[in-house]
Amino acid sequence: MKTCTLALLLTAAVWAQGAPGGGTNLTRSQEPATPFTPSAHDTDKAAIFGHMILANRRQREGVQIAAIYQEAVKPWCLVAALALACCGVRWKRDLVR
Amino acid sequence: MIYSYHIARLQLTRVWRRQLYVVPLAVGIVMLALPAYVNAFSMGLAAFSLVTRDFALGLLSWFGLAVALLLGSSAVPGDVEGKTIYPLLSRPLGRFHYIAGQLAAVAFSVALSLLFSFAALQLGMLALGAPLDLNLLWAALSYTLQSIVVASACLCCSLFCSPPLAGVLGLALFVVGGLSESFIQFFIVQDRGAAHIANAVRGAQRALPHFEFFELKYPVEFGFPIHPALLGAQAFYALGWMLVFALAATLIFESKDL
Repeated sequence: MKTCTLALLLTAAVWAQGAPGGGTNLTRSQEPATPFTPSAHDTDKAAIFGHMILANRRQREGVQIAAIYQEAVKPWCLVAALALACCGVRWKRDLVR
Repeated sequence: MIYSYHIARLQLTRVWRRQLYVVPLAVGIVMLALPAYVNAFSMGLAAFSLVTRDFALGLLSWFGLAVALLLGSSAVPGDVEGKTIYPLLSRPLGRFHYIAGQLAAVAFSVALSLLFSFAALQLGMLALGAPLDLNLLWAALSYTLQSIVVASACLCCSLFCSPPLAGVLGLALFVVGGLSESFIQFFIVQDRGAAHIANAVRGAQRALPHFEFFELKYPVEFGFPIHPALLGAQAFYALGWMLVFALAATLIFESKDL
């Protein structure tokens, strides 16, 4: 029952995402006659979004792989430290026995 | 390692008995129908490709996260509540092997769910005459790695808190670890002017996995080139974090009084 509900909710979410007008019943005849003009604030938002896409693009084209390997040092150091801690705990337990 | 294999098999049997395969099946049907649904709007070939990829990758990402939260946070508590853990731990079985087995089963389930959904999507696109898109496969594999890291974090958290709280902690980890520097800079600092929140997020990100590394939605959507060595780097990074959470879970589990 729970899985069916979850599946139905997922389907509804996809439908709502894909439906024209974000799931509302807005037809062409109901659209406002005057075209939408963005305010100064909206233009700023658009500019910010444009910058963000450009920054993302530059980031992905360039040093992505090197950055991942550089960042991977951190978890692998943690792995070494935690493995030592696990060995320590086991050694201490065996010592008590 | 043979113990971990048996634990993983037991966990997979439990997932099968809970009929959790219904969820990937439902998402697979949605993925199969998605290209035909987008095609019905007759937006042209370029727009069809862009919109289909956008919807499909967004859905794959959130579906992978949902499966990871669900399975990761309920694997060990399910064994404890069902009292099936006691006959297992009465055998000469290390706690790490138990955790590794559980994690392997969760990772396998997540990978199977996402790759099945991807296959359904690709089939739907092929049926409409679109060519095979390997970049989409790359994105699906990246999301699989990302979901496995989230699932291992949830599994670790479920050892010291309830399954719902473990799920919430996993979600918080995903949200904070997934915020890009561009988002923090342009939206949190410049648009909202909340510099202290931005600093708090950056501070937390130093100790958390960076999920931005797994985000291939926009490069795939807009046809940016993807380096062939990227998947190897992502796998190396994800494996590191998986082991961190598995070892932390082992440490917590060793001190847990069952």
